[in-house]
Amino acid sequence: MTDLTDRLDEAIAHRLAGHLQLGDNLDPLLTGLDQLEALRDVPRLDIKAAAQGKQVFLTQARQILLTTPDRRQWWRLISFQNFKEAFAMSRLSRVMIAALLVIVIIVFGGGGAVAFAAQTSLPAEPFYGIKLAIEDARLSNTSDPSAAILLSEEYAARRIDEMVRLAATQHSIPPELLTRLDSHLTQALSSAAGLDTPQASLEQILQMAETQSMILTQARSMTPNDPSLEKAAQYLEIARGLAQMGLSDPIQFREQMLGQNVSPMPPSALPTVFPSSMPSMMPSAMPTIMPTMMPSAMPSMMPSVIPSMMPSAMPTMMPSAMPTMMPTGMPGGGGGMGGSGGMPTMMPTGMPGGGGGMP
Amino acid sequence: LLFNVFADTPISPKPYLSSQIPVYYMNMLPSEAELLQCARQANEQALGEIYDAYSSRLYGYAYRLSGDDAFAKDVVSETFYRFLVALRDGGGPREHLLAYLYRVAYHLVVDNARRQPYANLFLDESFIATDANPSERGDERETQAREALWELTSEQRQVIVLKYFEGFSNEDVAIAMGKPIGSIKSLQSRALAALRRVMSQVSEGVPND
Repeated sequence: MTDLTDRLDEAIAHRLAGHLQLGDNLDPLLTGLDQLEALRDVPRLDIKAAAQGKQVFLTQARQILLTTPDRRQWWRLISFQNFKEAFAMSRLSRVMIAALLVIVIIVFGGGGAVAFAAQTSLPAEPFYGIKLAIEDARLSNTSDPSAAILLSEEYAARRIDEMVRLAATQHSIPPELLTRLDSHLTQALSSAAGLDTPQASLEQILQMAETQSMILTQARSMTPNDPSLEKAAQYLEIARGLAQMGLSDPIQFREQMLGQNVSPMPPSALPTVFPSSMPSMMPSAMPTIMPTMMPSAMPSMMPSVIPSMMPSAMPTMMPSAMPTMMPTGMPGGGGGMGGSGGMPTMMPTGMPGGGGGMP
Repeated sequence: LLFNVFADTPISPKPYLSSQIPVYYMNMLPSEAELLQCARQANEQALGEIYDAYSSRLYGYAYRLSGDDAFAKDVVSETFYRFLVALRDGGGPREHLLAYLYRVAYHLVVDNARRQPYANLFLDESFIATDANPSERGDERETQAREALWELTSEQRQVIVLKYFEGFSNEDVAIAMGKPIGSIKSLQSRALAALRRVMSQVSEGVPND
């Protein structure tokens, strides 16, 4: 049997080398391969698709590999190998340091560990509220408008990432996620409108919106007809339109976003990139107890911004005494998802990328 | 600050990926391990090289298995996305990148086939017109070949495609499938026997199960 196996292997190697007739009685055994020859020629990936795919890939790389530097640094820091190399010392010293570390971890590490775990959580997961609270706290502690814009962009990208991950695992996207996305985009744009020279920030916003649009386009191709993804795409389109307006006509943009010295702009005056029916930025069924969609620093600038962007759909004021955390059980979300990875587990355990189906 | 792990997130206007480059720009052709090391550091050029080198092959692989252009493109995108996520999480390949990517792509194809059983396509006789023109007859041969391929077990199919179409050596196939070379040869033999059996069934008009 082994001999036959080896001879067959050799025969296939001959066949692949272009020797069609082997002069061996193994030829009949290879007839099955002849039938597969029809699959030999496959179309090439066209240049345009390859270029687009590469663009999306590099954009995803920026988002995925560069937006979680803390996590990677911390893993590197606490990896056993590094620890061993850095602390090559006597056993007594190692024991003392280990004891000290345990104490420090017990005393201080609890909160940090929770915060760390929260970073990859999704809506409906226990730590998601903490993730949002941390985001809000960072945003409210940021006094520099440019830094606030960057943070808002980063958070908008996170919301898109969460939507994509939820959609990929066939989980429904809670409306709060869309509301958050709306809030981040609005804050980024309104903060840019408040700058003396907003061009650089607007270009960043434009780039972010285009990047996220590409990612959403790809996600929508995998999970078509998802209304939340479509709505998110509309939001990004609006943000792009406003950013473009800001670059081409800063005065009108400022008036549009901040409502300075002008009456609210009628819908007909909105840029043409806007969809004819402006998407409602708030979910139609708003929960009675609304999680804080905006950090505490926001109300001072938001009331004048939101109505101009969404004339009729948004409440004028958000109560300042709203809870700062998202409810742990968010409507529509599934439970028990692993929060560590980016994409759903579709492959069997032990295989790259996750879950099922490997021999 | 030590435990406030999120306070020191760098906020830079444009995070240029190529800001941390060890070996890559020294006019040396990087090895796959070096390429992967650069990719882990989010080196844009290394990532671009990886995409350029393998996207077309992955597309051909997925197309050969599925016969669906749009799906094959999705497989390429999803494969590279998962690769990035694996890198971010500290996983992913340390070497044998191509084998890793093929493995991910293969699972995507198989998962999809599980959701939409591939064989059902071929049971529909209207799928293949009897008065087809030559190009359609070519499609028919391709369809039959694909059908035969999907009659194999998952492991047999993978061995045949990787070795016979993708040009993998036995060693490469063994790495891609995580099996010893002897098992690969055995799978290959059984795959050939199964293909012959499928062919004889087709020629005798025996319906597939």
